[in-house]
Amino acid sequence: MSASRKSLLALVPVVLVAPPAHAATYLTVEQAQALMFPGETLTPAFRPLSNADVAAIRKASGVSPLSRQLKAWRSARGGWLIVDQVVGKHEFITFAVALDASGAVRSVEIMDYRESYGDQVRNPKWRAQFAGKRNGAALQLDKDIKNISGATLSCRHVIDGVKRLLATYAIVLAG
Amino acid sequence: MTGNRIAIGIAAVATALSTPAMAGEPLFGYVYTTDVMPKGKTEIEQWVTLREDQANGHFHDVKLRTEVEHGITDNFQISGYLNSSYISANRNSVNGTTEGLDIPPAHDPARPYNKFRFDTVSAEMIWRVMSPYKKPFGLAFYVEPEIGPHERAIELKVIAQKNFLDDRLVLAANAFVEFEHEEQDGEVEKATQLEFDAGASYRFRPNWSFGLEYRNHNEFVGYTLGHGSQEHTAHFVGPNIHYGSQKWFFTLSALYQIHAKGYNDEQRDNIVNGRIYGDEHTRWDGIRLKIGRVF
Repeated sequence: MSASRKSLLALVPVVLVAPPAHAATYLTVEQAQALMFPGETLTPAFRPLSNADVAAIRKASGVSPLSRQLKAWRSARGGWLIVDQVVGKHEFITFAVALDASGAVRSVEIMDYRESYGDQVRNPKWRAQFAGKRNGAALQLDKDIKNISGATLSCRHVIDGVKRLLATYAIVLAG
Repeated sequence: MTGNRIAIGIAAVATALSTPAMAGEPLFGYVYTTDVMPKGKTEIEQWVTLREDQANGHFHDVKLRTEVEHGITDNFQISGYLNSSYISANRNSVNGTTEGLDIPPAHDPARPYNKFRFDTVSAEMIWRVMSPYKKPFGLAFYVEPEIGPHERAIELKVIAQKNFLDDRLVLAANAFVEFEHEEQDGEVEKATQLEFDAGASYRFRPNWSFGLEYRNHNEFVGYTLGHGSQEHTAHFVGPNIHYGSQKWFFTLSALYQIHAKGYNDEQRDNIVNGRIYGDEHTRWDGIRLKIGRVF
């Protein structure tokens, strides 16, 4: 191997040992519960998703679940809190959706966001567009939910994530 | 400048960029995607490209490019480049002399050549007309004028991108034409390059993507693209790996010349085992590292 090639390859370990990204955690699960269901007691109702569940969710929402474990909590008044992830530009975006007893969105919170830009999806006005949406709502970018220029990938993936969780509620939890 | 000095310099830059938490983007070494910087965001990139091995002896061409990118709007990005290179060659040509690719014509072909030189400054503008995150595919147009002591050129490029699997699988294709005017030791060369590039990159785990890319490079005499003025066509293929996170990224790619064809005697004379050398290409063309920091 030539000296120049050795020199270039010698750089590889330098970049590979660079420190990992620092996670930007905005809400823990406990904080999300307190924020989205203030004063209510939540009971864990985790459950695995079967192959049939995954297929039905994919068919209903057009999006496949990333995890086979549904992280859901039931509120004393019949509401649901679901914590899940969507694909970000480089890492996963962790988000929480609160549903009322009828299955309509009460609120959406971004819990972890680690990307270099696009964190405008944390904007409360943008997230407020999801309030009242139910399974079956089109939730199309720039039609039902406005896009944020410069944060398009994150907007689209969070929209797809909410759409998927509304289908998950209807298929797995509402029954 | 020696290879070790270059390596130390780049390592220092890499270390400096590694300090804070890290994301930015070129997924490929050569293929462009339609991603541009959002409005008001800036990114600095350092490229090191090694064009390695010709027909005989040794040939190392280390190209350095320092780039600053800035988003003017969410769909229009401008960049500025500083381009320089270090060439170390000895008996690299088909006939065993020291001459060819970027070696000045006045150099004594019986002696080794080792020189660092400033090449050009260039500007780049990318206008994205369709985002792959909102439309069925992405589409962008690219213009890069370039000027230096020995060279003037302008490159025009079309970039297409299609994403799959929650945007984790990215397919991209480029077509570009570059008109260049080179003048060195009294010799003037006018040429047109036409290139088709394509690549696929898959994000196999958070932050990490792996892919393949392909280049088909065609060169023509003068400023026409007719087959009668075509000098050669060459094909390159190789893998790439990309790491991107919140504030920094790197991409490493290695393209290997797999086949070339010459269209005149001079070009054919520079083809050995199906690969073209001479003034045109190297066996590894090239091994490219990009390191960037997003602000």
